[in-house]
Amino acid sequence: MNNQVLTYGRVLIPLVLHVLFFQHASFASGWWYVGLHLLGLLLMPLQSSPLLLLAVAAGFGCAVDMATLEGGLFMSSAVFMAMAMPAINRLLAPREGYEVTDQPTVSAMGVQWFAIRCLLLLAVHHLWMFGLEAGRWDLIPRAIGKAFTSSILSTGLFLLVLLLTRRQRTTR
Amino acid sequence: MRNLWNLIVQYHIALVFLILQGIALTWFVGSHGYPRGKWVQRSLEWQGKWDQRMSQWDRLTELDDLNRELLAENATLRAELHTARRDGVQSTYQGAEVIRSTWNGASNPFVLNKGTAQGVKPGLGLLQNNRVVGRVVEVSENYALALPLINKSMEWSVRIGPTGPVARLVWEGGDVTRAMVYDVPRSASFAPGDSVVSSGFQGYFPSGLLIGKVADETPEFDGQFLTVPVTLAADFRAIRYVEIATVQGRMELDSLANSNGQQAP
Repeated sequence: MNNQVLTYGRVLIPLVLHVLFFQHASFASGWWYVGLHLLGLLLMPLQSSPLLLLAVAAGFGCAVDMATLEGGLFMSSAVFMAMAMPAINRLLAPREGYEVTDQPTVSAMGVQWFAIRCLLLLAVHHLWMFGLEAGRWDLIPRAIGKAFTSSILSTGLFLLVLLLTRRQRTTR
Repeated sequence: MRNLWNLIVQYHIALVFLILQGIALTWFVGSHGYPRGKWVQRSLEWQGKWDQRMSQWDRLTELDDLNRELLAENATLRAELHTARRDGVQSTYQGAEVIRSTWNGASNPFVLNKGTAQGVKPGLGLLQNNRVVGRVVEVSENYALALPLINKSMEWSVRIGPTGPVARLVWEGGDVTRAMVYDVPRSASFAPGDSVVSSGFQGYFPSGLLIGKVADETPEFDGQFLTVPVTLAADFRAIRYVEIATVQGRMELDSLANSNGQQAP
């Protein structure tokens, strides 16, 4: 029961924080966009069905769109990222597959696994989002640049957040 | 029929993905750059309340109160100035605080702390110290959603110099200090540093208000018209207070233009 609450909390708290406080967390003239709600999506359990991922991503994106008046941009990008999630999870799976108890966190899967997964998924999300937002071919190189800088810097930030908030394992 | 069902079951994830993307992209294309409608009004009211509460944290200095008083005084003086000049089109002004703004995106909407209760309506122009900033596109009871010059889907009717030809100003994304003026005739004479002002034809602002200055760059020529780079006058990264301009008689002018099916360039 406690684990379930923790899982829901991990997924929902970043969304709530993003909508209430960090909607416009964008730095260096837009070259670093922080989508804190994406951390919630990244922390969805590894065993989640693709349909659930799509539904949750659509809901998250929709909530951010409603709050930022961006009309569909975040929903579309989040759904795109959710579609890529199972494939990237399979790509990064250990040889013997994931355990039922595995969680997509730094403490459970390690810094390297989380960083690579986070970077790949954020790159997928940001490329789609900045590409859609650019709306013109001549702005695409700039959009790609923004997507990569945002993905790299956000991966670092998410890693830091998870490292600072992870629970210490109790040893006997 | 069974084959179709089997196909749906087999590709149900892709199907759900396509449906959700369809919904999101329709929403995006339908509202991006010009968000209107009930959902915007509701979101605006809720967000406005929250943003107002958040911005109260920033208002703990006396300077802020002083700013408000000066803003209200400016608005009154500006209205009196226009009345004294007996401009062809008279305007009234009221001050408003920008409680939320962005300048990194493609649409960059901002929210003002004035709504229908204070007489704000869609279509009213926004100024910052007599420089054009944008216009109101949606209003709830206590808040207004406005789109600035730095919005890729908006076009603004401008002149280069007070008597120059009328042309279209468009922001092309990226740099928030730079926009382009399209459809300038080859015969127009201008130089870097010349003022680009509102034509007043769209009815959002009185004519002659500063929008920007001709940039020190070579204009592009497409064979018929010039495209002139402009440095925008308003600092969109530092907007905190604006004046909402109501052009008197706008309804009458609009209905006159609509009856002939004409629109400003």
